[in-house]
Amino acid sequence: MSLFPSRKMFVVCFIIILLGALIANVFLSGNAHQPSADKTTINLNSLLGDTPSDSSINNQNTGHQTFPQVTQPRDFKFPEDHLAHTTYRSEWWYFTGHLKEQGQTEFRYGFQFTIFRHALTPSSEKSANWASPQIYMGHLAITDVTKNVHSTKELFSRAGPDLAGSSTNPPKIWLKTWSIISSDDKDWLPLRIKAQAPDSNIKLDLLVDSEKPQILHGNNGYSPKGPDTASYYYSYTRLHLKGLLNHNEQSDIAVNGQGWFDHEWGSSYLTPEQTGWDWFSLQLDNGMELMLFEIRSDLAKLNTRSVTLVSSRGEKLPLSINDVSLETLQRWQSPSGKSYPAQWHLKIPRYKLDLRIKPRIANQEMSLSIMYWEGAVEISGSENGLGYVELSGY
Amino acid sequence: MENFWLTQLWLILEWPKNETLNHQNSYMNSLLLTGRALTGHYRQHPWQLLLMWLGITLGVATVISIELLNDSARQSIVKSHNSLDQTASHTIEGDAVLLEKFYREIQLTIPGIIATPLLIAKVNHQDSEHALTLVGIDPFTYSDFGDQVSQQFDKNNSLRSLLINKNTALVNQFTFDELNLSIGSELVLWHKEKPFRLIVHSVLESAPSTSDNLLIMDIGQAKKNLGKENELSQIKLRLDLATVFHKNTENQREQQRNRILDNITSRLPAGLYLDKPGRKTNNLLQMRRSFELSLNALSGMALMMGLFLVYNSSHFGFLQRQPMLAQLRAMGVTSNEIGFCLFIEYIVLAISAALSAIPIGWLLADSLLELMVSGHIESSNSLPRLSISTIFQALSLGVFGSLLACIMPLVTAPRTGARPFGNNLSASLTDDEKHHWPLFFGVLLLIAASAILSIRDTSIVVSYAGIALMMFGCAILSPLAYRLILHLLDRVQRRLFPHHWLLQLTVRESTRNLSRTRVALMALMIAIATSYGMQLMVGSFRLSVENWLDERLNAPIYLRMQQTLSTPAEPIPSHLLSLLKQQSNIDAVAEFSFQKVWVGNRQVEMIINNFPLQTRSGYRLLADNNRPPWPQLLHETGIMISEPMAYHLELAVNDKIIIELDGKNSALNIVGIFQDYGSEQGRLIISRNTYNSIWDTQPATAAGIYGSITIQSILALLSDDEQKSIKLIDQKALRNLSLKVFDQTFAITYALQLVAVTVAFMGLFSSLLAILLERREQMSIYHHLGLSGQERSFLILGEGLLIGASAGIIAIACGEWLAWLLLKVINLKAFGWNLPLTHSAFGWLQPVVLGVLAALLATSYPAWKFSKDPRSDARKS
Repeated sequence: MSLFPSRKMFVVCFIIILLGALIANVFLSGNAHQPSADKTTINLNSLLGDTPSDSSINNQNTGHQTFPQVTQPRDFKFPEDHLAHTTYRSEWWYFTGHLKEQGQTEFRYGFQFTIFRHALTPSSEKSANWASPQIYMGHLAITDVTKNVHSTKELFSRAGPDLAGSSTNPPKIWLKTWSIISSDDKDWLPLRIKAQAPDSNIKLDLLVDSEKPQILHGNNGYSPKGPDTASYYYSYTRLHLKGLLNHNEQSDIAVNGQGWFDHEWGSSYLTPEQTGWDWFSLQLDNGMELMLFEIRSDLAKLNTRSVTLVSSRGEKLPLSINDVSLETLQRWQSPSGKSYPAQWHLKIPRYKLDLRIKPRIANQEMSLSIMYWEGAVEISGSENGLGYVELSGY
Repeated sequence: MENFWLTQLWLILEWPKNETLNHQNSYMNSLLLTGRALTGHYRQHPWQLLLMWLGITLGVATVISIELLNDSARQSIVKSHNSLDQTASHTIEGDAVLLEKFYREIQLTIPGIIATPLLIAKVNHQDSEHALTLVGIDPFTYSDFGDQVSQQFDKNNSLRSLLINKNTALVNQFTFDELNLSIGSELVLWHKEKPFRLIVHSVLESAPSTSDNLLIMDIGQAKKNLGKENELSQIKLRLDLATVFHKNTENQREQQRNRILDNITSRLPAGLYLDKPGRKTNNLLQMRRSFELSLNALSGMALMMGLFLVYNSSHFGFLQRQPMLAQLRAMGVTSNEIGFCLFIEYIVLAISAALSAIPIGWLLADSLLELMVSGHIESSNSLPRLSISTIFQALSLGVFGSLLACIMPLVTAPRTGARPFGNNLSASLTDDEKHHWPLFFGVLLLIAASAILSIRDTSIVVSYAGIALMMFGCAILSPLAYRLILHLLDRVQRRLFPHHWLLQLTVRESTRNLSRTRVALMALMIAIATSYGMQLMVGSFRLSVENWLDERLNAPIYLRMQQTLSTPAEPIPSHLLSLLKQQSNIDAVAEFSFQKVWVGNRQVEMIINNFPLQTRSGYRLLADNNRPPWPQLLHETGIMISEPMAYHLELAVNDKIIIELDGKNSALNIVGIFQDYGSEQGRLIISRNTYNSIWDTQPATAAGIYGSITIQSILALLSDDEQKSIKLIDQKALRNLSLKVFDQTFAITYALQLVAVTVAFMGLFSSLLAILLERREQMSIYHHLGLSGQERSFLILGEGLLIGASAGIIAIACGEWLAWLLLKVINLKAFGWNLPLTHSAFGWLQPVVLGVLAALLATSYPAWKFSKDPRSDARKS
């Protein structure tokens, strides 16, 4: 018997070679470049300019136009002033609130819904065409106190062509599918706010009304932010809310609750020496509301504080910032490594208020294009209540 | 069994460590002895080694070169059409104004939609007149697509600059280099006769490596510059990322995506359509597929011929080494050791030849690329890099093909006993007559081929497979036909020259040797038939094109502006056209404009013309709607389409087609189908008035001038500057230029044919040489029987001539059939041309002459060798 494998062996050899060739070919050709499926988010710092010292920000000058500066009080005209002031550089419409499921007593949810407007260059054009320099950004956050969960979403768009903007009849602010629309053709309230996260089941759809009139902060709405900078600023401090909410649930939940609305616009940023701000909107169970902000700076003249106290009847109560003391009792380090104040002691002896403020859950950091902490807080002490705190620049 | 092979390898590897093991020493000694004896053969017969090496190298090199060429062309198509589509899952295109409205609608109403708009336009650079593609993008939404362009936004403050500085653009590296730009430099660009300026902000380092001139700017500014305020060119979508709920299962996500897709589809207005990105690219690639297939078929033939050469040489080498192998067996070398050494010999040869084929293939591809570029065939200007897969492919082809070609000696050699089997003469005796299987098998193949080719709706690949079957069937039947020819010759010889014993001996020897010459005959027949068939096809095609050119180019003089290859056609100034029209000796001026447009899945060329009376006879109508087509074309917004366009898009007269151009769609009625060989993609003609009523006015870029005029008389009308800026060409020169382009287009197929036929001839040469040299003993007997040297040479030359002439005669029938199939099946399916088969007067002689020449070339050496005393050879061996 011949030891040589003869035909059979060759057939086997050829099959092995052929299979090897095929496998290698498939393996090698399978290495083709696949486009990345990673989603790249827009770099907001790159868009807005990295530092306030950027000359293009502080004194934006394109052609012969400049942004108007807020230098003195103005006569507010409503409902027009509820809408966008596109000649100014920046503006926001800001809702926060606390919601409870229909029939429940506990405020299980906190929310923040804000639409920001930013003009890249000064422009007097009213129409929002593609070349409009107006850009809009939206932030949506929902805090579920029971589940200890905080979810955030963000949306961007250029204004043109009517993808975002503001309009009258009815008064409306919108950013793609997110909107603030008045239910009245002429008046601002009642209105409806709608926001739905683009990539998750987070949704807010609320009818908004107010039992108190708007409050003009600072000097009749002229709100200084430093010795040379200011903005126009007013609020509705006690809103009634009713509608639907979804926080990654199978179906929408009917909710009601109380809220706060801010509208602010201007053309100035913080100066380089101003590191950030702490802002409080507190709703006390006795019917009073308090707005307090502090723009932090190591330079005393740049450290700016402002406070507004609203009575249960909706009147602005006389109060000086010197009447208020605020002490940080505790700090909290976020997963991103930032250390935020996490408990405060607020005292206003003039109105016999001695309040302790603490976050309803610790982690309410807004980890978006701009990172800050904004969250629901609860108040105890001489009065109980709920509120929202915003901490930036940490 | 495996143990044996492992032992052999182990012994080689562990040889120095095991010197003390005597039995292993004896194995190794046997292997070394066998190896030395086998390779020593090639020292005496280096040409045999060379032929085998050439066979593998040329075959593999041809396949590699065609692969490289096809890759190059495919990459060129993909890069030029797909540079900004890489991460989109879908696109929406159609009417530009509707598109803009629809973009707004989906952004405002569909939460989770990830969509971005694109505005794309061609602009011209003022200084260099280069055509550039300006792409307006929305950086906000474009960022969601995460492609290479969007990654650039984070660099150099690009995003902010695009949005804030009104006329800032990012340019790709190709443009940056070609226009010699620097950062901050200003570009003056023109769009539709309006200039605008852009500042170069930065180079898109990570942009797709397209050879297109690409400029990217913010869509808002782009719209202003281009005057397209309410228009978009495309919406890119990423439905694969849309509404990906992190808690959902893949099924639920799929449902979500489908819901969004349905949502979009249900909202789409007429005039817009949803598409997959790359569809157009795929269609262009598909259109090129038929051309690639013909190149692949030719390269495959070259490989087959190369392997045939290997088969012959290895077979012959084995026969020559048979006595030596018997001697080795007598010395105690086992059959396994002989088999192992032969296997190693062929593997080493195959690998070295395949490796040599890689650079040769690259060089061949480089030369063929020049032919393709000069033939205006879609290709990139440079070859792609040799990939590992190409190298692996070459090695696999070389090794696998060579082992297949050497299977006979590999299987037979180890069985050699201590004495060789019988003698070579007895082995050459044939008993083929007893077997009928080749006849049945050959006829069966032809029937199968006919059946496949007669089915109309098969793909072109299937048609090629049918043709391959047909050729294979003809090849199998050719030895039978040869036997028949020899039989007839024998009878003729006996009747006409009954006493000419040498003629009789020649014919009978040929019949006796048929089993040996069969493969050589088959290979030669296929090579000649392919060459003849291709030439017949190209000749018929060329004649049709010549006739068509004579009809179509009916203006005495044609005019266009001077231009370089890289710039688009320049418009002819309107005052120049007016001047020409005013001349009394000019009867008419036909003003041509050309546009590439998409009709369905096909990109076709639209010819816009005023169609004066004189031009109309240039369009031979193949179908009309029973009404005079020209008035319908000129006054009723009708169009006419070319035969290839009608074939590929399955269109007929009275059908309506939707034409996409500049974002505007228009449905036009087909009033006629005309003959056209100018574009295999398809053409349509439209009157200038109709075009202008739908789209923006298109300036004329070429003009046909009718009248009793000469080039000199036209030049005399113009200033020096005008004379320099235009190019005039007369009818005859344009016709010759067009035919030159036609010939250049087929140059690549001629080149490949030449490679295949050369390898086939080398195969035939080695095959005949092998057969004849093998007959030394027989020649020695003839010598002793008293045949002179001249008579022996006559015998050998005569046999060669019979093989060559017979292969040529059989190839006539096979080549005719091939040409007919190429024209009526392949050309029709690939290009949509229904061409008649035409013959030149003595064209059929060519295969016979080719066969005879090849055979004479192959037999002259053995004839010369055996004209001498064969005993001296016998002594040498």
